[in-house]
Amino acid sequence: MAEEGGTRIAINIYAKRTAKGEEVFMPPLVFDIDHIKLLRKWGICGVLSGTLPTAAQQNVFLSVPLRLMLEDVLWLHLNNLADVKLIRQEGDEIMEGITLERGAKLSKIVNDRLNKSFEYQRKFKKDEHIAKLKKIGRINDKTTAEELQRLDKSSNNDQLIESSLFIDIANTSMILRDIRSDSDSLSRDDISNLLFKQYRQAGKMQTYFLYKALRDQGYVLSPGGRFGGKFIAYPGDPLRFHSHLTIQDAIDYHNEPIDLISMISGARLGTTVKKLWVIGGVAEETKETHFFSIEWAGFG
Amino acid sequence: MGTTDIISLVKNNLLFFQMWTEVEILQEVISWKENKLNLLRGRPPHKLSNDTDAEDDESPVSTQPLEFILPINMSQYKEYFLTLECLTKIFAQLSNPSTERILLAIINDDGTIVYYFIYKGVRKPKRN
Repeated sequence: MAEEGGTRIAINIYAKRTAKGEEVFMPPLVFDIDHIKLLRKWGICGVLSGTLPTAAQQNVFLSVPLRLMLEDVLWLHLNNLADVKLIRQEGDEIMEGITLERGAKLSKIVNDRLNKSFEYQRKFKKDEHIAKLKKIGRINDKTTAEELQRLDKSSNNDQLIESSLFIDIANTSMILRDIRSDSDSLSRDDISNLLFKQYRQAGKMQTYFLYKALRDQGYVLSPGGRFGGKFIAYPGDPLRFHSHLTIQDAIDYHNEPIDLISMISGARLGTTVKKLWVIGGVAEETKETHFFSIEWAGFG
Repeated sequence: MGTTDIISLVKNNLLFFQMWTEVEILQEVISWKENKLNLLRGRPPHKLSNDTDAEDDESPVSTQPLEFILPINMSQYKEYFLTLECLTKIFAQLSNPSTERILLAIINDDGTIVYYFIYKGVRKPKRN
């Protein structure tokens, strides 16, 4: 895999405590657009989950952050391609921790950036407008600046430009970037252990090995709830292909029987949506993953 | 329902209801966790709907390949029966090692049978 100049994916994970005091990870999030592009190249698509400020009511056009599966994070971390930042503070604690001085500084940076962007857009639109006027012959190279200003005023041009400016919103949070997270003091192994512990709390470790085996075969995996599975697998980028497989949670290779009723319902559904129902597990002795694909025979 | 019962039930269903031919019970018995597994072999009457249309040019009279059938009671899964290990074993012991699928005949309490193909490994769904 090309490492793209050694770019490492920055993954943020918020950790919360349950009433019993157990630590639970919130969905892993990626904020940086360039990182998201790189992930997609590697076959990790995730799910965009942020609201677009300009289309707040639209839920098909979502924006950063990108939400990953815990399997994705494990895979990236174990392949040393990501920096996992564990944030154990609550959001309001983080905000309270910002001093007035720091707050003023941050807001100045934001304002300066916004003004710069406005300046650039205004100039671009004005130049564009002048070029247009020249083209239709309203003005020429001899037109004076005063003449131009008069023309602008008469057509409310400045006002129109002002109302058409875009507000650039930063993808990454400067507050998040600057806070010291607990994971700064954790080693790679510590983070691995924490991730594995979370993963085991949520399900079977073997499912991760199914994920890994399918990734190694070039499949792109997404959450499979829509089709009643743990994952759905695409043979390439999900924008180019339909998914081929619905993968179930791993079952114990030796001792867990295949649930025939869920197999029948899953495989029958798979026939109508053109997906095979896939079940798999890991043989403990050989560490080998075994998959079986099931589909309705078309009769009976 | 005993094991011999479900085998003959599937055999009859294939022969006289699904109109298969050459359906026979294979002599080899696969023993599995105090159970004896019998496989059937038979020939479907026409191309099965999930086969790819790669051989479109072939004349319709050409014979279909033989399929292996594993009859199983719907209730058997409760007894730690049909595990992944069991499937691996069945595929390993098939007389023809190039066989890529077996047909699972699942018999319900009322005698109805549903048929599902099991492929070894991950496979592409049929085209279209």
